[in-house]
Amino acid sequence: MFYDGQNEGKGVTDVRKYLIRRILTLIPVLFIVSVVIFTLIHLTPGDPARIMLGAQASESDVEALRETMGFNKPLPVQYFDWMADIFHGNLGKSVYINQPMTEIIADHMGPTIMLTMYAMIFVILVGIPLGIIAAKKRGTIADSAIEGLSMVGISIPSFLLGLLLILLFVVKLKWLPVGGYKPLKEYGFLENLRYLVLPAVALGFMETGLIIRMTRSSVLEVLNCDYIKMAKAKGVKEFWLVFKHALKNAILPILTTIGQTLMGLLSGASIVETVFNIPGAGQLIINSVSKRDYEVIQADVLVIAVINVLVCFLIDILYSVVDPRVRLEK
Amino acid sequence: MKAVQTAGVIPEEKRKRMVQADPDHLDQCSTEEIRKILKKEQRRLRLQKFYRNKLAVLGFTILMIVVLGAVFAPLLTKYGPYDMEVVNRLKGPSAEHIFGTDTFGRDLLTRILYGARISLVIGLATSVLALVVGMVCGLYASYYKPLDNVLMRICDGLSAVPASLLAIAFMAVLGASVKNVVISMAVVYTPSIARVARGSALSVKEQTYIEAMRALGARPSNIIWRHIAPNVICPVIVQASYIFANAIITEAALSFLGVGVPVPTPSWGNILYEGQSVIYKGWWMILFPAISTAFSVLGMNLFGDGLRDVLDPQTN
Repeated sequence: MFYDGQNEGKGVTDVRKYLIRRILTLIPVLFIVSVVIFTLIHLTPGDPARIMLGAQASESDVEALRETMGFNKPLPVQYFDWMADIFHGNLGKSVYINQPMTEIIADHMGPTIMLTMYAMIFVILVGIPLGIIAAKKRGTIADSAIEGLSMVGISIPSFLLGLLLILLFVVKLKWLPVGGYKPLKEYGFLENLRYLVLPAVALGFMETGLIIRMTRSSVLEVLNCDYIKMAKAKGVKEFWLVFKHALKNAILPILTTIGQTLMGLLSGASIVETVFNIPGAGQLIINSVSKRDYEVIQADVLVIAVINVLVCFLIDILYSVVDPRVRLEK
Repeated sequence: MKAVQTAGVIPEEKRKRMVQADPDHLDQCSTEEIRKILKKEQRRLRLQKFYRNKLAVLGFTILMIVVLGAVFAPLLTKYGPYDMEVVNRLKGPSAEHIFGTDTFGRDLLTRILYGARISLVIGLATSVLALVVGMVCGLYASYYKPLDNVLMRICDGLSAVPASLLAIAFMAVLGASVKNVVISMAVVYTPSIARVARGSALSVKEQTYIEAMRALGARPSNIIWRHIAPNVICPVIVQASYIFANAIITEAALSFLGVGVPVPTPSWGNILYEGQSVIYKGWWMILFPAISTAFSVLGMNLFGDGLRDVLDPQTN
């Protein structure tokens, strides 16, 4: 295909059409996510108000809670009330924490986002270069070593690695704090990082293994293409060959994997937060489980799921911008 | 066709001898026998391929070690998983207790071996349950268009929520117990099986022989289970093997968070949970269960990769 200027501007409408179509498909997914979470939380066997307050609570207290939480209404009505509240910016109210739910979740989201970001940076900085090296040095000891590392990485769950890291760097070497969180604004970057470096490594290690594999196979595939041979024949330097010519095409599948990585990190963060005692959204859920604060669980899971869906959506959009074939296909 | 014609010409006894003497005498075989020979050959090639993959064999060996350890746990240690020696609380590894003892003075090696039982049973139950339910959903979804929309949207909804969070929320509602761990994880992992099954089934469905079956008036359930399912089972089994590994991880995570297998039942997750509270005093309570979990997951992953190479060559 040669560029003849006739299709100028057509690409823009294509992107716009694609965007609109994707946004429209987002609505049913979000609706179903909310229904799934709502049904899940309301599966509670028995009377939720009674379970929340415990067996010793008086009947009048239970009745009062039932009234304020709306548990005595039919389930569909409860769902629509919940939805109506959400569209008014009200995510529900906690039984134990006397604070609007949006504030509770916003407070806990900060550490989670920081942790996920650090982990993401770790994954990209370690995973992609190692994957490229493995592809370049295919069949050598370096390749097998990286392959082995990624296999081990995939097999160590984040909370296990977290515990092992604590054992080594905190208990044995006493280099880093055992856990907790120092907000970036008050304590500065270094202190913030000092508390989050172990959790971020623990969280990112497994995903790094996946990224290494993905990068290796997709770079290998591209390196076998004719245009790379051509570039090589023209005398393009090894470094530019890989980083400029090959990576441009190899990055597409890697991009998808990065999207999945972000989902994996967000999901894993909840458990790592508990290991390192970081007051994030995940720890909020775990603490609410033991307090049986269902409203908090419901709101928190919903927020994380919505973030997830939006991240997927953005990755899709990004994908279509980088690779025009994606939006032309459909 | 030729095989069928010649099968009757040569006397039965002689023909059988010829086939046995030289398996290449395919022209003397009936279709049934050819099918048998092909199946045998296919199995031999698959096994050969699996054995050539050293990592897969390593994975299988690891898995077998874990399984044997779990099955023969009572023979391997002289302690019971609930036997407490309060005097020997939180003692490091020694000749008496190779892995040391926990906060109640229970032998750690014993608890880890019995924990392997729980992990394997939960992993197996979860993957089998997810496999069965996912197959049914995926196959019927691929066959009936309206059902497809409904089921796949539910799957989208379920997989939009991060797996571990969904499992935690589920456990919060159902309450901690082994049965509930299996149920909640099966719900979490079924969509992935359903997707794989549906994806392969959709392409199988388009093939001419299915069209022919339909034209002949075969019942849909017959087509789905006897003609589509066997062609879908390979990728589904591969997926299920990954679910097995994931289920072991998730179970450990749930128990570690206190919403999985309830104490005092030994599970790798709740040993780690106890270990975390004494992390400054008892490193062995973290190190050994952590290594055994990672070890078995590694084995399962390697085995799964080998299985994929053998059963599902297209994905490679």
